Amino acid sequence: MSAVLPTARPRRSRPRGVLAPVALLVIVILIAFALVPGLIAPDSPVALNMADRLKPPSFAHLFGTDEGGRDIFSRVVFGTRYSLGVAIAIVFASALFGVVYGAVSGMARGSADNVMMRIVDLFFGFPALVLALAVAASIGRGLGSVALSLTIIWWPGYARLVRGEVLRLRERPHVEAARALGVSNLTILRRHILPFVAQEVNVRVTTDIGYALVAVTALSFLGLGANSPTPEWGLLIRDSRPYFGSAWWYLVFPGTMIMLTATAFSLIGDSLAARRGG
Amino acid sequence: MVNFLLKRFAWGILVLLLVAVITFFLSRVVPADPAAFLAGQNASEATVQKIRAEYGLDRPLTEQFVSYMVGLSKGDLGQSIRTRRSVSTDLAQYLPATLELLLVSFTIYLIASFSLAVTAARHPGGFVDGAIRLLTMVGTGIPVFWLGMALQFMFFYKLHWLPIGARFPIRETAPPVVTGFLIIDSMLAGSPSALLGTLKHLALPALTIVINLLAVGTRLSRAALIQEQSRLYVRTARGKGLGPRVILYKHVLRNALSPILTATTMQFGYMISWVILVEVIFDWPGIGLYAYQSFQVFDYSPVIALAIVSTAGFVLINLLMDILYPIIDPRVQSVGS
Amino acid sequence: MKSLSGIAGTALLLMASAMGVNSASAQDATTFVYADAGEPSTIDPAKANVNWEFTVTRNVYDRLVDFDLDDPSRLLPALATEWKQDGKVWTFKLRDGVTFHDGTPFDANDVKATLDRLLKVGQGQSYLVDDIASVTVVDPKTVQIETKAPTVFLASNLSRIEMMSDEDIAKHGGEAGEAWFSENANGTGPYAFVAWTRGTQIELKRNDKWWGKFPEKPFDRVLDRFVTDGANRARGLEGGEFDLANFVPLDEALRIGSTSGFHLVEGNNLWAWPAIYLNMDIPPTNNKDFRNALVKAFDYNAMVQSFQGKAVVGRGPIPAWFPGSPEKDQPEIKTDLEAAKAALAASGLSNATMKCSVPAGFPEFRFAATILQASAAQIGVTVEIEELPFVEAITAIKTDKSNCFVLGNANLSPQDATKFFSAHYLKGGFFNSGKFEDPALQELIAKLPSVSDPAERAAMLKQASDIVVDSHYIIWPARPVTVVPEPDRIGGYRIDPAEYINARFWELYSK
Repeated sequence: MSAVLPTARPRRSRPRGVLAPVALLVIVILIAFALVPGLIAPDSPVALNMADRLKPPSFAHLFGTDEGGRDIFSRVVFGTRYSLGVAIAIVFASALFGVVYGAVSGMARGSADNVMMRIVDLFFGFPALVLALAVAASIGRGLGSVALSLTIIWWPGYARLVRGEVLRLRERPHVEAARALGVSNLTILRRHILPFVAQEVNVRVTTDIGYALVAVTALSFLGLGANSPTPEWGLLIRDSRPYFGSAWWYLVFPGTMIMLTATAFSLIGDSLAARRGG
Repeated sequence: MVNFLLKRFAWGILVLLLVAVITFFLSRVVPADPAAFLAGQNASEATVQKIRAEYGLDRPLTEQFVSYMVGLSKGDLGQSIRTRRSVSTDLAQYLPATLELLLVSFTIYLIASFSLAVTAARHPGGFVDGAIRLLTMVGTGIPVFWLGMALQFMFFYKLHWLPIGARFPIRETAPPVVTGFLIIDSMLAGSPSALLGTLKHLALPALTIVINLLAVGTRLSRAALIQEQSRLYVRTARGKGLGPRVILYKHVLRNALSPILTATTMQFGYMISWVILVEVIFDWPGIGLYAYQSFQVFDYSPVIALAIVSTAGFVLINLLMDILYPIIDPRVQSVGS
Repeated sequence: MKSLSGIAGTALLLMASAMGVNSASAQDATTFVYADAGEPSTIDPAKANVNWEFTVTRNVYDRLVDFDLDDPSRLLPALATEWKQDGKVWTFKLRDGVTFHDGTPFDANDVKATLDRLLKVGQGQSYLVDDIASVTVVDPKTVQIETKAPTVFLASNLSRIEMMSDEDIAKHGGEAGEAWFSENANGTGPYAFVAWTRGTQIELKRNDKWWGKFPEKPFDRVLDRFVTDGANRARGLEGGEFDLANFVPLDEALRIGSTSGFHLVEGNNLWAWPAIYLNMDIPPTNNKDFRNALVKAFDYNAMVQSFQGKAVVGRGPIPAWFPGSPEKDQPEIKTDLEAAKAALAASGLSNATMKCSVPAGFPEFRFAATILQASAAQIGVTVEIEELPFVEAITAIKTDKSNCFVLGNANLSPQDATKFFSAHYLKGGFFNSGKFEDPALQELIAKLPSVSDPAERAAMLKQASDIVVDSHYIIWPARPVTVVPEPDRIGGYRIDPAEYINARFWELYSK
């Protein structure tokens, strides 16, 4: 490999400058949705009100109402903690496991590292949905089984990332110096490697939350995740299917929320990456 | 090199075996009874028991596993309870539909992704770059099933331009099945109208997959290109007075190809997942829909088969990449070391 | 910018090639496209048991008798032209000059072979005629069927049993060859089986040698498309890709039916669509007062509203149109929160929690469970809902992992209620998922078919119905009117009240 040091860095793009604060705002709002939905949502997410069945968006019902006359905006607000909550849990669990696994693999090197990485490869080829089908079949449907199957699919990405970083960092002069001084592997890892790895992982985690959210909602859409009438976003889209021609708002708003949320996390992840770089 | 490839191949077989074992056991821990589905409502317990015996469902799990593995070693993927045929026969029927969708999507994706990445990387940080980056970010955030429905709404329901689903115009006669790929079969039959019909039906599902892949792919390709551009040889080339376009196309692209390809192959797992969703939404008669429908009635074999087939695809693609890398990127020569 | 325009070019090329004439304008009037909710697992008449399997079997094969869809108490001749009952023995005179699609003639041997095979296989609709003891060929045009006990319903139940060819059964039957019938069909019916494109469609063509009468301008070719997604069926119907669709979600059906170019066909409602079964074996639903509380608390109006008013609240299991139905003499079932609270107090249960398993794919089932949840909450009962594939959902309640199950079901027989009661309310019945048992009911149902006086049968039916109602085993949320949007270019569609949406292709014509 030609060892070339990176010299020029792309200058910061304008869109990011404007959009990062907006994205941050979106995330703050989402966190509020998740923590205190009762204070924000105007209505109950589950109580039926048949008189208002499938009403289009209005001031009373920002996102319109569903087949039970429930306020879709309120359902979306209350759904945040399910959809986003599970997505965050998946990414955190994967990052935790992946970091430990990757660090061990990277520090071990040699044949142990080789075997560990081959195991990681195994998971890359495994289609997430098929695994989710199998997991749902064995432990039952629900957000728990969604979280489990997506974590199984997700952690190898972190393991690979961290191992790569560890291999790179341990060749750095200051690490080599530390090793020459007889500092233990664990200490090297803790003091000289993990802090740098953490930056990479932070970026990845932020971006991944958006991806995980999309994956969680996809599984709910297929009927593997949350159960009705939990206002989980993917499930809202699934529930909206029979009313497609009669109530466009039922499909559009939950989908837009997923898109907005995922994009916001991507933007923040990008922004973190740029800050770390520049 | 040959030695390395053999090792890789052996590993691939091992991976396939593991996948088969994992999915077999995961799917058998189910509480439901596929024989009850097969016997139908109102069937007596004796009838259900007879069917259970017929399909070997009454035997102990380990025994079922051994016979499944023995069958697998002979290329027998088991029996589908829902379709009452062998899974291999079903796969032969459904695989071409999925492959056709995948290949068309992937080709469009490669071209588009590459063009976008080059455009974005030409002036990193410029307005076009920023716009493309924002679009790709929004793109990764769109749930594929939602996008599919939105496209159906737009192009079928509102504009009446494209069909809602399936592979071929309903009222027209499909070309005789030769390869199972409708594009090729239409051409073989020399029927432009059949080809047109096929493309019309491919458009929305393919577009759905392409948009999602594009979003992820362009991010990765752009990063690879920009990193490549910042390398020393590019500066040298610039110093020699070569124009930026020449540098980009003659040097950077060539060298950036291998990281881009790596990133692309990593997306295979995603693609398979997307395909199941897209097939469900567009009633696309491929292996994704087949496995999903089978899953609904606890017909396990097709689900395991899908896992095996898609993992095999992944292993094959990686093997192919291992062979291609040294050709594409002369810097990578001693792969095995 | 070259590369950008390249992408744009590629995309445009794709779009341009893909656009063009919408399929709706390119329709030929002789092909009929039916959007079916699923792909058959088998088209063997001895095994078929879901709507999308019946789509094929009902049209490719004929039955001995038919019945008047508008008045199910009237049986009509089909492959049999006359029949009479004498105690346990029924005699059927068969129609002359009927041939199978492969050209072989239809006679009494075919009837015997079909029924013998059906009862041996023991699947599909065999339960409708499981009281047959033996079938005897008297002469090629006369067949005698002896039942285990006298039953007045044999002819009406035979209106669902498709007649196959004895040559086929000899050639393809037996343990090894049964598979042939799963994907091939040779009947005497108005449409002949042409081809099955897996995952996509089954093609039928009109049998112009059929003994019956087609309307003017019938369809020569029928494509039975498998469109598993209800929204896609609705949209395809509206967009003109399909000529008719089954299981169109009600809101979409009403909306499409009111747009120009469509009209609504309305028919008698089904037996139980949906019905909520309560588990008699595990707490809290094994407590009769608790079940009573749920029945009283349920918000029936909400369910009717969810059907946009196109529904009635049932008073028991048997709808008013059914011959001998006791419905008009039964008290109304109404929401009464005070009575519900009193019943709950009597049950001695407070803060109870129960789980409800709902088969996925039917919005009205899920919504019935949602209403139960909201209604139960008003009396302080918590209901958890779990949406599962059908087999898994019914297994959950049968194995006592769930308290409640939501099901929609039709009674296939146009006159015989006993088969429905056996399957749904008697011990061992497949749909008796909550495991209801009642000796008096058992006795009534066993005796009913042998009673020849219709008035006496009606009285027994009322007793049977009252037993089920009084047990509070079932909540009947509402019985929707069956509504089917039909394009104005097509006529002849009628709703079979006993079987949810089965298209009789031979009655359809283009205008």
